[in-house]
Amino acid sequence: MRITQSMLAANSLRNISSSYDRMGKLQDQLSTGKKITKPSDDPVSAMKGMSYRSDLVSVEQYKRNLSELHTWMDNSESGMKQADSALQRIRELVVQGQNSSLTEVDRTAIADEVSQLQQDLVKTANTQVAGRYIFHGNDVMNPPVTQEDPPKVADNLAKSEINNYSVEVSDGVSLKANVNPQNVFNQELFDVVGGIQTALKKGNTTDLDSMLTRLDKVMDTQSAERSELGARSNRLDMVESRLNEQSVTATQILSDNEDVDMEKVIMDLTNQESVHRAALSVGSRIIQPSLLDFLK
Amino acid sequence: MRSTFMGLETARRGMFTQQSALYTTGQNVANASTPGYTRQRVNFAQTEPYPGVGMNMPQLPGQMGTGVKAESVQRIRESFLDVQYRGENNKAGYWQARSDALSKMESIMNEPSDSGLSTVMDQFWQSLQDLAVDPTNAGARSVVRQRGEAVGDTFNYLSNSLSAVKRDQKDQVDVTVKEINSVVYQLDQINKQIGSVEPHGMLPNDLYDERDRLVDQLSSLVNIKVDYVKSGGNADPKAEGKAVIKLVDDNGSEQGVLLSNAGYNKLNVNYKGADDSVNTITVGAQTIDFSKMNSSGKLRALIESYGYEKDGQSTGIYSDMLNELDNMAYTFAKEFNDVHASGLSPNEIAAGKNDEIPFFSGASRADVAFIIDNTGSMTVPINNVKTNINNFASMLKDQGIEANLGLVTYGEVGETGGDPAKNALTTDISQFVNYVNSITMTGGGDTPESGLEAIMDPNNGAISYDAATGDLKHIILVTDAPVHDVTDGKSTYSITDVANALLQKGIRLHVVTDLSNTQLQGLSDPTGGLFIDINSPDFGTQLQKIATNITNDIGSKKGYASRIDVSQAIKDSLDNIATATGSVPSAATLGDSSNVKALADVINQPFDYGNNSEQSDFRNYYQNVIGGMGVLSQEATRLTTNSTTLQQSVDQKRQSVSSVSLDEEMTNMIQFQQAYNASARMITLQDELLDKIINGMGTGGR
Repeated sequence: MRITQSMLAANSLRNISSSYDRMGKLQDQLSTGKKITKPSDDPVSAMKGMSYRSDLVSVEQYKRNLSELHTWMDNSESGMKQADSALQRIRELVVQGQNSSLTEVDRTAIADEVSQLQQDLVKTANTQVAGRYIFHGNDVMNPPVTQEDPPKVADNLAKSEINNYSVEVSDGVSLKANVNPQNVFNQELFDVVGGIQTALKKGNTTDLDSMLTRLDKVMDTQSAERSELGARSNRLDMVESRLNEQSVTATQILSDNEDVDMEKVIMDLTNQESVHRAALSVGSRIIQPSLLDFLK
Repeated sequence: MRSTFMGLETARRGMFTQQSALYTTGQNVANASTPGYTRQRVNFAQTEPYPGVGMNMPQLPGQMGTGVKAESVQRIRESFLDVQYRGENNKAGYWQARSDALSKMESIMNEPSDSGLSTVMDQFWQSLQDLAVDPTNAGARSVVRQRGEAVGDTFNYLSNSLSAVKRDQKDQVDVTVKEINSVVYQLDQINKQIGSVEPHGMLPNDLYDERDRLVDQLSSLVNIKVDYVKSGGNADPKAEGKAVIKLVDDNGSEQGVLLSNAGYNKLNVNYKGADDSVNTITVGAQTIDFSKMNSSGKLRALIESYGYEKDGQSTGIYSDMLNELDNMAYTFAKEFNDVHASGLSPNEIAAGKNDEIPFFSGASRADVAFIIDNTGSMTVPINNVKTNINNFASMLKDQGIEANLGLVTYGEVGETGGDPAKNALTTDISQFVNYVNSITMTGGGDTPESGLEAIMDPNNGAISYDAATGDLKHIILVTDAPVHDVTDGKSTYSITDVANALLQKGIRLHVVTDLSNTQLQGLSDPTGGLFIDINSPDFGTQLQKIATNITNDIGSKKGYASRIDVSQAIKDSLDNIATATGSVPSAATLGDSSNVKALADVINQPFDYGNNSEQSDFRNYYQNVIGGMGVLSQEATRLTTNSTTLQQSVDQKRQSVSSVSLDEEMTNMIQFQQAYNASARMITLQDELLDKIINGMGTGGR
């Protein structure tokens, strides 16, 4: 086949230009650290990359949601602990007050202490965390105990609609954050404590007996609620460790899909550089001489 | 009898011919780098031998040659390679242009990245989750609104950028058409010039070169076939003739004539398809339907990216992507709005009722046509409309929607004042009140009136109002009587046909009538409009219901991605974001986050995003769209590389035949130079011979 100077020159140029093109691609990969810069480089990889990214975002978000759950559960736990110790003390006082050898002054003193404990219970019931009442279920802007003396609870405390302050921890899975308001600081509790004070002031031991039974029942309900909270808390810990693992796995999958193997790219680049130099050198040697140099 | 000076003449002919060969060599060397130059060669031929046969021929032993002549100067070119090259060039032109368009689209969509639509939606979801965890947190609400606005902004940006590039494609199409017409015009000029040179028996090589170069340029733009028609007169048999260029499709069948013996035809692209897309191409007087034309080339690639009409719809790379964006934005906004409207925001909880607030809005103007029955019994409703219209308009204004009101009055067609009469749309409420004031009551005759005419009349019916794309379109039909339809013979329209026509145009029709008039529900129910009691004592509240329906309408799907924005209600107050579930408005609490969770979940719910009865969630659908675009782009890049390689390979073969090799020219030059020297030596010899004859003969013995 007949070859002319212009063909040689054009070929040389084209080959050098495509060598530059390959080096340019390798440089892109090296500076971004990613195998693909646009979807057409590898459409399937691009699609998967988008989906893995979204997965990672949702796992990170669920981890953030968990901190809110911790806040609620930890604060509910400490509130209930405080209420429990107050009720224990009241029980002791009731037992003490059942002693018929007490004078009226003694009984009044006991009643005063019960009154103080009652106020403490009201304050605990109306605990606020970051401006929200945690013992009123969903209805976080309104206090569960609306009136202090004598204590009256809010009207909607018994409604089941407010008993689900839930937080999403996984796709479609929510954990309840609150304790059931009806089981913790309910009207019965305050009625009992109020009844105890009245019975003490009047010196009515039979009333005190029935109050004691009712008090025991209230304490049992509270304790059951506390163990339920404990169980939920354990479940929360399990969810948390699972999410942590998921986060690591998702990051790894994303990286496997998109990230480039640095060592390989650097080696390819070095290779391509030497090929490029060879092309330049050979090209220059071919395109220069022609017959004119040799004719006299 | 031989002539004395024959040898001299033979040598002289030799010298001249070699000299012309040297001139041609010089010409080749000078043009070695001219683009499109084909090397030329002198064809040597022997001159006629002496003697010729005839009655008076001298008796000589055999015929003697008389020298050489330069018969013609010919281009060395293989025309089959030209045909091959043009075919490859055509394909390369197509794939190159298509690959450019797709890569521009890829850089606009910018996926996968940290700043594309996918990330923005993820961030929106995150903000909703943060709000779900603490619905009372005003900061979290603010972030939700901000991220919602970011979603709207991203859709707007993508839609606007794609539309801008689409307009650029249109400009490019126009430029390409101009280029085609200019090249064809130049070819026509060259044809004429060739036609004036060839009959003289000469070969205009430079014109041929120029013509081939132009045809190569044209072949990358459109698919063409070139034939040659011999010139008459005394044309050399090697003459190529005039070119006839026809537009062909990929199977080779003709579609139009660009250049012929008689002259040239202009090519024109017509933008009369749906949405200003291309529907036909005209070449001279011939019209070709673009969707049936499958001839490749740069022009076709550009039109395919801009958009052309197929089966009544506009389709094309950019049109399709804009449609996808519109579909996604519209479906998402509609579903999101539905969930949001069913929930309760802090403001609604405080008020104790559900206002059905939309989160996303879609339009800034609503064209509302009131169709009012003007028969005698309608005085009270007409007054009601007048007194409540200002409130109606300001309710819309509060939601960021401007009311563009129109009035059509009707009675019984055929009676005086009974034909439908239309007033122009106006945003001036007092002007509208003037219209209503100037309603003159007519008789009415039998109870059904010509309501369907008032809707459908092509000149005076409400359907003839010219609404801008993106405006909401509503009709409010106020009448106390049923309407004539096909069944009672006094109308040419039927209720179902009218409802279908309204649906097709995206118009909602609300009916304000007596509640027993169930015939008219056939108009309001299918179109999504309300059915309101005309006899209600509080007409204002009824109109407010219609106003709420209008503000919850996000308009038509077309172009929605460029209009989507957070609604005015949400922009005005963060406490309008509906967090709590709306099932029992009176028992809702501020800590209830179930509606926000449902809102966050809208992104994960399967809907028909593609308008093709297939369900998938937002992320999956968007990934499919991006994946599809990636595949198209990858294919285009790959085929560009392939066709360019083929084109270059054919070009190599062409160059191999036609381009100038300096070594070869130098060798030829030596050859011609030596031949010239030899002929010159012959002349010297002849001179010596003649000298002998003239000066040496007949001087014997002196």
